[in-house]
Amino acid sequence: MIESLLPTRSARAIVGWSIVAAILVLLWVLVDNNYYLRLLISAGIAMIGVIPFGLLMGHMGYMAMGQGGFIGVGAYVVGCLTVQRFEIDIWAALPIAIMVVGALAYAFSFALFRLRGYHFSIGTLALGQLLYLAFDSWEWATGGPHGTSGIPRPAIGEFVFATNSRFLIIVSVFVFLAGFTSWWLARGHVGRALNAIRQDEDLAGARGLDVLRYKQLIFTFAAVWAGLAGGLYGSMQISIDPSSFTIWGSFQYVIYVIIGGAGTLLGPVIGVIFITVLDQLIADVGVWNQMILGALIVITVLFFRGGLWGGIRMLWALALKNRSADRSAVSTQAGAAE
Amino acid sequence: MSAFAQQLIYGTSYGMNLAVAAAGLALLFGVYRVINLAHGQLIMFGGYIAYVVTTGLGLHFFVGFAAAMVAMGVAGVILEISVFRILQRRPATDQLLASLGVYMMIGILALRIWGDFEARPINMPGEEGAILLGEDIRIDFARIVTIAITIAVFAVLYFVVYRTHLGRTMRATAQGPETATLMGIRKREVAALVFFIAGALGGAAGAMLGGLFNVRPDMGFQPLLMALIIIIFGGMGSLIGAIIAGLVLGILYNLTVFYVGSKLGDLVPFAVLLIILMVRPQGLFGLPGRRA
Repeated sequence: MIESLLPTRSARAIVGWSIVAAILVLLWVLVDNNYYLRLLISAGIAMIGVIPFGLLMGHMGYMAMGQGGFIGVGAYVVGCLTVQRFEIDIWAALPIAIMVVGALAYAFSFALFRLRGYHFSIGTLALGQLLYLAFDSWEWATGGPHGTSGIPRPAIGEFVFATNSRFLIIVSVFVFLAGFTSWWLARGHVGRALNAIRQDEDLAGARGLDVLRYKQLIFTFAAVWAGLAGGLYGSMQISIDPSSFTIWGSFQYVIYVIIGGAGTLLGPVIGVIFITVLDQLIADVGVWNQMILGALIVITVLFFRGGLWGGIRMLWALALKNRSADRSAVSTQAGAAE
Repeated sequence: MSAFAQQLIYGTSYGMNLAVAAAGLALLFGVYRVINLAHGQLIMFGGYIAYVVTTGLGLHFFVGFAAAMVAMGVAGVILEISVFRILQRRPATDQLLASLGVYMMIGILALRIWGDFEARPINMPGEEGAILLGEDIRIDFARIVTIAITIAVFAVLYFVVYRTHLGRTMRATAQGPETATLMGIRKREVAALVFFIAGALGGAAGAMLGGLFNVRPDMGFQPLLMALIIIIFGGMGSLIGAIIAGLVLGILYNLTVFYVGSKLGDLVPFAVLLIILMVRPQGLFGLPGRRA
């Protein structure tokens, strides 16, 4: 594709993720409708959390079902620090939120990674629910069921990212960072370790891989980005309450990854875009849209395991096949290896 | 003291209901190595079927109870044929995901049919009656009825699993699917049977929970979460583990709610789960050394 255009892989990654971020910003020029602008921001925030989560779920094969809890912790730490209890600048609150989420995820990872497969998913599901209960009941920090309101938008000097169009710029920058750091992790020894863990954890451990360390690293990494997404979400919404951080939020991350294509970096991005667009298209049918989404998940899991991105790559491989048999063999192999 | 006895009995009846819900999951996992998240919605739907038959048609509670069991059993078989059969040799996450999709679909179905989040009551036998302990402590007769029903359900379940030919084929499949197939056991029949029983247990749990509390479109989630915790606590795939863990959790929950507060009561299952994960990840009756 673009191999010949750019000299190094990291240059390609930077360009690629910049394009993703730039598209987000450029869409803002096209849409002056505030409603669609909010959709774009929401999609961007979802991407920030989902791309790193894709490493955990797709590359490593550990389906965490509690990311909604980490999103909530990020949002509430920011809320608590900026308005609820303290009055710290949001630029200081965001890093603190990230550190809190990271520490929390790392601490819980010791217990959670005693589990595998189903059990891990259930354990994280329970953790997500536990955090939700905490949001609901720890009134001092979270405001309880009423939540926290008045979370500020970030500012640089006099330039406040108050309007949605300005806020989208910040979100896009973080989408780029989330995509790039995920790519950077997936490309080297960490990526190889994740593949080894997904394929046969015991074998990987027996061959001297420090399995637990890699698992904790990726779990914490995904949680930290989810926390940042939560902080930005709070800033976007201005007010937050526990209903935004239920188990449903966790499921949504899982759905983005599986619909878009697990085990790839771009899959989750496509999943977010697809679900966001779909939500708009089927908004008229009311609650039936969850039915359609549910059916879509079942069908994807049953028959299209590669998800949308897998489908695109398959078509791409077919297109190349017509041009050169040699090239198509390579790309189908690459597709199979995913 | 009598307040303690009351909470003990309430906890027992709640725990028994949870144990029925969890037994379905445990059976599915034990025989079929599958976790069906849609089980929660079978519980919910079972509650609605019992509601329609008892409150809607005015029939006796036990008719509604039986109807819920049969209908959810059939729903379980349909799930097996349409979804889980295709996913047999897939990674665990695929089965979880597919059942999550089914969970969403069934949830919306119920919401569409019954329309709203209105809580609907089911008439249970002995609703009015109560045993009085001391001055203001009363134990609803309905609680004792549910305890009796669950004991009956578990007796039948025990009989089916350990005393019949069908049960033997199920246990054989649990021990080794390949060997069982070589011995002439038809895997598909066993699968259908297991999904039927599991679905029926879900329906039974739904009818009873609907009777004790109310039927709501979102009533399936809490029992599902509890049931998932219970099967980890009891040891994956262990029926007796599910029963004991269900009881312990139900009683602990009720005692904490009564003596400490409802918010802390909600945390009990998760605290139990965390402690179990740290101390004994394989659960009460799981095999030591074999981390699932």
